Amino acid sequence: MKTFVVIAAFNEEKKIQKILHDVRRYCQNIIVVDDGSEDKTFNLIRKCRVVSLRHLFNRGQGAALKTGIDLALNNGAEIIITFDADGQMSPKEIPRIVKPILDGKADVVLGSRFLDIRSNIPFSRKLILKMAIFFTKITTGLELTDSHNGFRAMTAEVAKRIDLQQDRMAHASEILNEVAKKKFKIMEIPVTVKYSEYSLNKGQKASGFLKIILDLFFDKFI
Amino acid sequence: MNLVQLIIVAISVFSLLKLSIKFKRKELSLKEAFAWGVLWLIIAIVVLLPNITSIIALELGVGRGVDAVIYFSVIVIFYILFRVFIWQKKIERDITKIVRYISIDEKYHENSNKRKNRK
Repeated sequence: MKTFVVIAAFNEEKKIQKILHDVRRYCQNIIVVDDGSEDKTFNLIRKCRVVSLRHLFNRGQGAALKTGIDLALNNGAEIIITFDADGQMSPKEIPRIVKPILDGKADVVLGSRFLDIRSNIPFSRKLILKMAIFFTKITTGLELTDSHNGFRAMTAEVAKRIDLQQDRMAHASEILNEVAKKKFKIMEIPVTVKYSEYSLNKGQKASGFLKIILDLFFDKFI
Repeated sequence: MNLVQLIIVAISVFSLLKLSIKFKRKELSLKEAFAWGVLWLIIAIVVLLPNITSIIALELGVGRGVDAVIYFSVIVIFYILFRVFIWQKKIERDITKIVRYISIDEKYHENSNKRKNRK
């Protein structure tokens, strides 16, 4: 099946080339959306053998992923994988995240850093993520072990039918809301998330969780 | 009628006239025109008949008329803030759509130029 990896990148000049090089070993079709980076990210992406897109200015990870997903669908993608650009995830796990879709066992496969103990999750991050899991449970009814993991795979059918409007970090909750509402088959698989000082500085803060809740709340009135 | 009352009533009348013009030009929906119209009418009535606020305040158990006006104003201001916030979010989404369109369009142009150059 024609598989695309979609990566949203914002100010990732330090990591992006290595990540793209590693991802290419497991998937040839890569779409990278530079989300209005102020550093050399876009120039570096263009040197790699990937499809590069650029947002004129920063619109958020959710917006960048949707741009990449739209382009992947226009190019005949049958499976779409979303992957982070900050080096936390392991490209080696790409074949594993796609397998349940290839086997017809799931429409959406979500990576979970809590299904095994390989991820070195700092306590503060664990606390935020657990709150997000609880929030997902009460808003969608989904019993997940990890609700805000950017490593996921979905069929083209799912990508076409989910209505993504959230530009920023609330997109992860929105994907789950849509998947639950439209009753797609979901499966979680264990993935490794390696935290580094670099990724922690770029990642979500506790205030980000509050912002996600507010974004989802105001979404009801737009 | 004192000078302050005169100025505020004049502003209210001017605003009501402007509202009706905007509504006729279809720049405002019926709901919006009605909400703003009611607000300016209330302002004009309260300024012309200040005692009315004391009657309402007594009915509501607030105490003084001026307190009732302040509570009402705070509610209205919060509501307007909320609407402005929603409006801003909507504009942000529209901006994203434009940014996305340009980004994908640029890619297609780049690809078609590459194909032309190859020929």
